[in-house]
Amino acid sequence: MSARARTAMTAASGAVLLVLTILGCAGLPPFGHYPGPYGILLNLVAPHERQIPNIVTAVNFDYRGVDTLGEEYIFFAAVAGIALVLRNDRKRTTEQPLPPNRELHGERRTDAIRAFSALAIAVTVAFGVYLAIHAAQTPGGGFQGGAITSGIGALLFAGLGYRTLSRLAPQAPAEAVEAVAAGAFAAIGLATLVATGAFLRNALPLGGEGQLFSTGTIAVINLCVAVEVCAGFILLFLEFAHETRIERPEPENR
Amino acid sequence: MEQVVQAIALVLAALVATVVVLAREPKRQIFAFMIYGLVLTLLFAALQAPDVALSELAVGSVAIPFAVLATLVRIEHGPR
Repeated sequence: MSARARTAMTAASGAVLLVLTILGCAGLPPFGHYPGPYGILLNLVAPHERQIPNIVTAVNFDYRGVDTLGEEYIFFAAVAGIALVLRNDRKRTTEQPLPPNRELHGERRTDAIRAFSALAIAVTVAFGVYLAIHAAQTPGGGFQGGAITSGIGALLFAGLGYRTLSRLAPQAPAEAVEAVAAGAFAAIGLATLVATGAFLRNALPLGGEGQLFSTGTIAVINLCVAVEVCAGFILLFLEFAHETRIERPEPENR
Repeated sequence: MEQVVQAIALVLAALVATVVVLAREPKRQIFAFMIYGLVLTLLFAALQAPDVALSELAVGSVAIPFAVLATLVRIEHGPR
């Protein structure tokens, strides 16, 4: 396609998009005015019904838990897809980094970098785990906590090197943990279906509002999600870290 | 006060997003994108959506840049 035709098409579709966006925005409620009613209703009933101060978590893991189950499996499928695409030559991956195409200054990490990384890992784990286990009390929860904790994968690779990452976060256990945690969410759903007749209906004792061990199945599902998301992101970091290594030459005949 | 913080965050997001688009060199662009992730985190926090802000923090400023950087290394230094 010629440059002129491309520009014309971009301009035309851009103009249509602009008009549609303006029309769409014109129909929105004013900034900061939530029309309800579900959020308002849940804010009223959820603290009492589920003994939970953080309504977002109650919505995610209870009132629309099926939705979250679907999202969980979207994430699972995405990580599996990345693993599938990047892994065909895994048997041939070595620990050697790819050759730089220009001089790299200080390829060996300084002690300062290592020490800072170790400190950053400690802070990341503390913050991530705090977020994950306080899903019912404060903003955040399994997804956020798990994703932030998994940041140690990136920190290990960048600060301490590929070898440390692949030793401390080996592939096979991470895969197993991710799969078991993802399966556990569905298993909880089936268990509640058998026990209460409704998929993901909260069937456990709720405990007292604001306490660490409270909110029944919400807390259990939240833990599964935290583990699944953390292991999933670490797998993702591993897969991409493998890509920066040299591969053994392909065998002549297979 | 609340509106002021939100307005600043919105303007900042628009500015950094423009920088991301205008950075043509992939390696520069991904670092701009990381900062954009942090700015979005601030914006979501200013709009009282801390859950979304925390997700954006992890996904936008760590996970996506990591994947893109590793891919760039592979493209630039890899075999073939």
